Amino acid sequence: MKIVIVSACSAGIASTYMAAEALELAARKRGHQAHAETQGTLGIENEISPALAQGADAVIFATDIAIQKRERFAGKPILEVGVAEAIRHAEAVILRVERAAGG
Amino acid sequence: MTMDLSAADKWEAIAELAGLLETAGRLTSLPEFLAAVREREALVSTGVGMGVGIPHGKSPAVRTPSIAFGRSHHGVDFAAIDGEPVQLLFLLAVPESLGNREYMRALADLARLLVHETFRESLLAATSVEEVMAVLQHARLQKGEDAQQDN
Repeated sequence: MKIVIVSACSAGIASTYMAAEALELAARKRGHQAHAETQGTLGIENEISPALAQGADAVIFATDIAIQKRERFAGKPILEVGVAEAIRHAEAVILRVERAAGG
Repeated sequence: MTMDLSAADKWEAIAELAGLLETAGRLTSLPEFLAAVREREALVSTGVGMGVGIPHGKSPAVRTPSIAFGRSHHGVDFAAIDGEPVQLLFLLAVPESLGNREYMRALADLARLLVHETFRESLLAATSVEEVMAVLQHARLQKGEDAQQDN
């Protein structure tokens, strides 16, 4: 599966990046392609293009705040989880995404 | 760095590491630096989970960007997001003059490394300062390789 991730945390200087890393890692361990965009204190990094967004099989928002440029993901199945959950239970989050996709 | 923090609580541990920075001549004022760390810590705990703490302070009292690393086998309570005690403590000292981007970049890179269990376990298992340095160096190189592979 192609999974795209957007991670954003209000206070997070570290959390945003850890959530992105944790989810990417967990997704790749399960054999998926994963791309994580971070919306943190450094601004938007590894930005997901509209093409990548629309080509994804699943979308995960790891966030405690509103995601910027949400319109890119219009029509895609989106799983929203908290940043802390993404860091602590990344693998469980990926499993949920797999089940939702029927995979 | 210190292989074994003797401190029993969060601020003792941070002060212990800040003391190392002062001894190494990285600070112009220990109290001023600690005040900056407290200010940041008051916003949100830097106990980011998985036994890791990354307190940091940006202040004119810092001479050169520095990181002090300390290990606590008994663990120190940091009011971490997962409630776990902190065993790997990184105290970052950043001069006022350093651009925010560089500072944030270093923090973000360290945070990403800490997500990897093998990295954390290697740091916990290291038996000497040289070993810790080797773990950090290897992780940085690995990250560079991975980034190239993705591209």
